[in-house]
Amino acid sequence: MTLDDELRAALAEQAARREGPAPDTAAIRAGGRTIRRRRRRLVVASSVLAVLLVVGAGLGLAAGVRETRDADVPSGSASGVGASTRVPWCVPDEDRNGGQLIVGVGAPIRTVCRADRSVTLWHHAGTTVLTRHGTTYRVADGRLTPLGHRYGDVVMSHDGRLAAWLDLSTTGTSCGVLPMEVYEVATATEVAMTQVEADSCAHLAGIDDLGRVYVASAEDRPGVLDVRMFDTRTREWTRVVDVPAPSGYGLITYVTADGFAVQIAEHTTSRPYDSATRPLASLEGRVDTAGRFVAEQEVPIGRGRWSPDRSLVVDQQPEGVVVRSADLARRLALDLPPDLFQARQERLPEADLLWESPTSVLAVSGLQAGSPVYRCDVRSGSCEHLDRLGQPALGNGAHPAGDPNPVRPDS
Amino acid sequence: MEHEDFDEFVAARWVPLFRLAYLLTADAEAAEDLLQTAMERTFARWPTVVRAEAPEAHVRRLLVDAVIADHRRGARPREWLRAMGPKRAVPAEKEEEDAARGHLLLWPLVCALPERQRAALVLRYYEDLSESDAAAVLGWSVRTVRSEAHDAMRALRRGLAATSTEAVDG
Repeated sequence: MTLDDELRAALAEQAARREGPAPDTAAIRAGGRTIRRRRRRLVVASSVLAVLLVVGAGLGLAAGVRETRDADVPSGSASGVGASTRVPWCVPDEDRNGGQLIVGVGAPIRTVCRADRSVTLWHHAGTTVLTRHGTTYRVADGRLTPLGHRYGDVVMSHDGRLAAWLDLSTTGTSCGVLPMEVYEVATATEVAMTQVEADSCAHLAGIDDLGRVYVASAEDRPGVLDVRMFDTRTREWTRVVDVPAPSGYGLITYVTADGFAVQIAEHTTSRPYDSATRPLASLEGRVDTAGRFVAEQEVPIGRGRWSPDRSLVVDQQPEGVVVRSADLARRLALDLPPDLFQARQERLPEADLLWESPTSVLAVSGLQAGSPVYRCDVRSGSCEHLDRLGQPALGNGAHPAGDPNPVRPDS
Repeated sequence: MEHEDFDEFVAARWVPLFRLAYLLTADAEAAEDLLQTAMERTFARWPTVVRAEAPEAHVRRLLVDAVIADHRRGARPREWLRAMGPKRAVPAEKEEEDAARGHLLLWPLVCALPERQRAALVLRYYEDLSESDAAAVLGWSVRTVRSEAHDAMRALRRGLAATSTEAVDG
């Protein structure tokens, strides 16, 4: 028997073993109707936008840049973020070879959730979503609730109420005009379905406390940062102006209560093929109602992850993972293995950091499934290796306002 | 009910399409997700799909597109096959084919192939599509289909040879 014949037989044999679950035609129909509605809305939105641009050009207005009216700016809210969060974990399902379970959110949910960026579990402020093969799901109450038939990295508002993602399913890249969806996760309600209007490859940076979603693009253009803001209340896009030229290729490092921070310093290694850089410091600013970036302070924080109670920030620095108080008065290095979390000449670490509670952080070196997970007490800096299977959900870098109940590091 | 023929189509073709999705993804959960999404998209355009082409071909193309798109988006390639590599010189083709003892040995090697190569093989050897028909489904040129399938078969031969060598060594 030739290899061709063997292959035919092997494929037929594997296929014959699989019946698959019975189709749920009601769910398929419901999903199809949702897709149809979204397509129509997208077409209408695109048509309206095209008309507006033509009219705007005719009137001599700057196309694509709009002012936001004061009356349109909502009041911020960050309720419920002070409470401890239960970080869900994706663990192997021993009953199914190759399957996984989500544990820590209601009853165990049988699914595929390996954290390898193609199937990813996202968690922030008590809200968890799963992105998997073209669909984003709310993870709660022991089940997966489809939110949208989209795919892309997810960002959440600091209170965990809103989640947004780009649709990469059409082009397979983050370049060009892309649909973007914003959902209120708890109610599985679509807040907005719109299109990113960035000039270049887009990166979804986060959602501030005013419900404004920031999208940045800077690919292949060092020192140029194009930031667009979508206001979920007014449903308008605004180009953010007066954004300082960032260092290198850095983008937005984190989103704040009413704006964002941009990288102003970065760390690199000297090895030519290791082109990855890590932000070292940022310039925080607010974005006013006219879409202007108003610089406020330079801070020694890179890609900061802010604690649920708004008092602390943790980020990866060359010397390791560092926790600072929000007023920068205190600084504490976490006691993590240097070989995994400190920069070396040949390697730049990239920790995935997630606040488990107002006083503890989960730290994973790199994003590969199977990397060791550590739990660190941010008051003492001590860390323990969590000897358990699976991976925790990934975090979100949103930085809230205020400092209602600070918890300071002890040293 | 709206588009009753759609339900008939799903009932009739769900199992074979699920099997195709499984071979493309090598993962039952992912196959279910892919097929559900493809069916939803098909329902969303049902009148157009029925008018323009055979619905099954439409779903098949959506499945293949999704698998290849996942690969483009950066899903980590499965490196097992390349990491193993042949430990000795690759034997002649006849010997390699002799090494293919049983179907079960091949499936893990197929699973380890990059998505593009696996898609080309599944369409050619499971769906029995010609190179030009496979090219139409994949959206590639015939030359690309031939090249991907050739690379895939070569990888399978090397994998079989390595497995055979290990068995002898062991």
